[in-house]
Amino acid sequence: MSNDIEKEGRLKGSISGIPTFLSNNRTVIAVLAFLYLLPLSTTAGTSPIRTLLYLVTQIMIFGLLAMSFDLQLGRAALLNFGHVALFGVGAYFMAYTLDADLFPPPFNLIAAVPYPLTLVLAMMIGGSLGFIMGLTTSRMRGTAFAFIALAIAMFLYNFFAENPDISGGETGMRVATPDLIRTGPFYLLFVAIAFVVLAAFFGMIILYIRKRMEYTGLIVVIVVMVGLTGTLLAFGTGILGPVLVSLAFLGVIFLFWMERKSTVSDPLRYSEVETGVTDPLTAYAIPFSIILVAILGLVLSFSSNITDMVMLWVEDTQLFLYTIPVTYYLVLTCLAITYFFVRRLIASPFGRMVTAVAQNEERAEALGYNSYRAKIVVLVISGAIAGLSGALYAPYLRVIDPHTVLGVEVTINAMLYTIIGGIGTLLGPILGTGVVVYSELNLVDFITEGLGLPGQLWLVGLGVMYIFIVLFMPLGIVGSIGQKTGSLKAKLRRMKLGRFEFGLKDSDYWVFGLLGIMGLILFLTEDARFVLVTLGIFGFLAILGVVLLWILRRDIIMGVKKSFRNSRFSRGGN
Amino acid sequence: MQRINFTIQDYLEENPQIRRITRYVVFIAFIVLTGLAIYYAIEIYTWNGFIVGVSKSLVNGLALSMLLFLMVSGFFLIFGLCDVINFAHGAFFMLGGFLGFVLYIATEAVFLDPALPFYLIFGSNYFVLSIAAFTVSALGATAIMALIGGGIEFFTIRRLYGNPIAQILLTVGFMFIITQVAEIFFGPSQFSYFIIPNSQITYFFISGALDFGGGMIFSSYRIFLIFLGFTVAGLMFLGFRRTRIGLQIQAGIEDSEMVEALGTNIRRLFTIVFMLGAGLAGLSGAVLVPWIGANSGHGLTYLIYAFVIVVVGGAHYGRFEGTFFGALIVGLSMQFAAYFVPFLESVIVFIIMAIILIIRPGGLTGHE
Repeated sequence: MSNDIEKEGRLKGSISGIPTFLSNNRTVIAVLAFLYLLPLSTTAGTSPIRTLLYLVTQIMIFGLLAMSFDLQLGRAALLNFGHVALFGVGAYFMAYTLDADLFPPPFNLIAAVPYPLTLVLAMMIGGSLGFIMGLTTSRMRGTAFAFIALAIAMFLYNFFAENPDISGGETGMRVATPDLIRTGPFYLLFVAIAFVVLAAFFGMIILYIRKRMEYTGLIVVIVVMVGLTGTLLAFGTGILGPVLVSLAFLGVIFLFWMERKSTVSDPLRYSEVETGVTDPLTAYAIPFSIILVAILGLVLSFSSNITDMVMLWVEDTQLFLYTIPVTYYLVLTCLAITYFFVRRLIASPFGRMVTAVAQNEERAEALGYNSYRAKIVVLVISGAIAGLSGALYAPYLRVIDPHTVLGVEVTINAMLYTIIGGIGTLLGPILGTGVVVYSELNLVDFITEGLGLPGQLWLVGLGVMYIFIVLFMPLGIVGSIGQKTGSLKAKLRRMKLGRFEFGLKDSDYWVFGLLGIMGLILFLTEDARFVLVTLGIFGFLAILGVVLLWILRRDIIMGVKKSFRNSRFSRGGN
Repeated sequence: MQRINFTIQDYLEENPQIRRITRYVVFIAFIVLTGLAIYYAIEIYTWNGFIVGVSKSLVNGLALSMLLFLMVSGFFLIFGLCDVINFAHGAFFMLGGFLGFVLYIATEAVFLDPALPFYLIFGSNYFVLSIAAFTVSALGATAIMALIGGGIEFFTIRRLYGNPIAQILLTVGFMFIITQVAEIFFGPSQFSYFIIPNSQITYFFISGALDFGGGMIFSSYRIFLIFLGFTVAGLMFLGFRRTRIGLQIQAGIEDSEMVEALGTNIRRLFTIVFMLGAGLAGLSGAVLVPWIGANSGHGLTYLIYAFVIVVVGGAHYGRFEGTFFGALIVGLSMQFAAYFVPFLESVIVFIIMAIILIIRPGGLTGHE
């Protein structure tokens, strides 16, 4: 009996924890919602967004790899030159697993267990290799560990490279696409997840508007409404869906006016925590109907696309193009789960202990922590993540050879992604992966068409970019921006246009993440339909930038003068 | 809290007798295993073949070790003194090879030009011509690489001391730039002196061979490489023992703050070390071209050998001799494995490194 009550209480607790969770992860949820929205727009035929989806999938796979590298380097201060071994082991494990002719049926993994479970098995393989690497940390510290890991990785690489009959050799080994990825129900499962995330996104907006009583909140919501409705108009097939979504946003604005009126007329009631009084209309009825209307609108916008996709599966299950959105969804879901897991891990007492060990090992040991075990656990977890990314990469690439999945270049790349994004900043490695992978793929076009130079110069351009990033952003993109914007944020909070309060709080910055990813991805599709939306988003950001420049003009002039003077003095001093 | 991890090291330190016995047992086992390996090698290859194989791999291994030592000593100095893991070092080596190649062709063209006075000396004697041109090309490559290395240190790395992660990124950037520039100028294919039809270098450097009879034919160029390597290594040892800058560098590797406190301009020392390291990489690249050719892919391959050798020799607070012995171990084991156990050729280096690191975590001469 008491057990039931306890269960009920726990359920209640976890449900009532949802709003807090939504409010704490505004940027991530907004970006995730947009990323989940993207593949819904692919129709059965060819769509301009498919190439982009393919690219984003690659970025996310390497983002997982960079995240696992950052878990070692940024959290546990373990520089690992053999990180690629964890990746390659996962990739080859997946390649053997998906090969239906390798073993007779009882030992054939893909026939025996479902595909998601093989991913878990790949994680276990990566984790056990991480455990082996971790065993060496009892004696190897610093560079010695980096190099023993390099020895393990090179050993594996040479072993696979010199046995072409097991690794495919130079020509590579074909990896079959798992059958589950081709099935319709698997796709529908991810579509359902996408709608859950989108519902969470609308819930986040509602929670945001109920707390944000200044006019800034209204502006933010209107901007998001215009951007999202425009995107839906371009993506979707019907006009009814976007209309319903904009109606939902109008409901949000209505909620804003109601809350604002009640705040102004009865300031005491505004603070729910103190009085404990909640108005059922604004707390439950309106929000849920808004979410319902919004989801209905989204379903209406994309229903024909989804039906097309499922019909395609019914007609012919062997089509290759069909796998792209499902792979994308699979990788995105893995990335999201890993992200939240790693963030939870870092915030946990264990994560604090790892940080303590990384900062000063002797002190942590003197305080009674077992540094050896902490390092092993970090290596196992990070090995599991790297193994997962390898296991996702093998079917994505379809042909793997020792060089692409076990070569030293992969380690160097993972290191570059992490360093460019910012070490120890959870989102930094993913962002760095995006920057580097995208510029690797498109720098050639830019150099040949944009600058009229020979295309071989692209690696030179990449090197110059690294050097500039190092010289001007020593902490990586996220790290350096976070360091520099501290004072800027304080100024933005007190921003005023005439008598009009326009202060930006910490809770408002999610809109920049959403608009940034929205504008970037729509811009990269290079489709004529999105020009208007892209122009609108970038125009809004540009206007905001100009306003900022105008408000901060004195500080900027002062800063430029100061840095100029400083640099002249330091030259003379040297 | 009790320490949970039980290490053999702790146990051996508590029981010195067992430690002594284990040492003897390991020594005897090593000798027995070596004897067995030699016995089976003689069984398989016959006595004569065994002798030929051993002497050939000894010569090749020594030549390779000396060249690797020249390259890696620069890497070691930069790592030891400045604490910079120089990812661009393999690229320096590769670029040195290309520079040596180009300089050789240019010098030869100048020497053979009838309008210039050099023609009077070298026009009739091709042997002297090729040696002189080769010397000029090696020294020229050294000088140019020293300038490039010093420039890189002076303009960029100098700003980033104390930030090891940013240094890695920076040197990786330079590695990409140098590799790609070399590839743009020379293309991705392998360069060797064979492809220049009228070049005189083949007379001595490539086709020349010493025959001791019984199948023992050694390329004279590799023997020359051994002598060159020992000469440069000896000069460097002398320099580190006798000259003021050498002593300062050695002291700086041990404790750079103390050296700075004693009044040495350590920044200037860093620049000198970078110039020395890059110059040595250029020299080894230039003299290795007649053997392995010049290829833009060499950078990464030899960078990994440099990593291995430095770690085997003792990376942190290690001594210069450690790098020398590390290079010997790596070069000899690679060539012996290539002759006797070909399937282990590319793996053996890493096996040896793992064994040495497990026995002595700090490498041969360093400490943790």
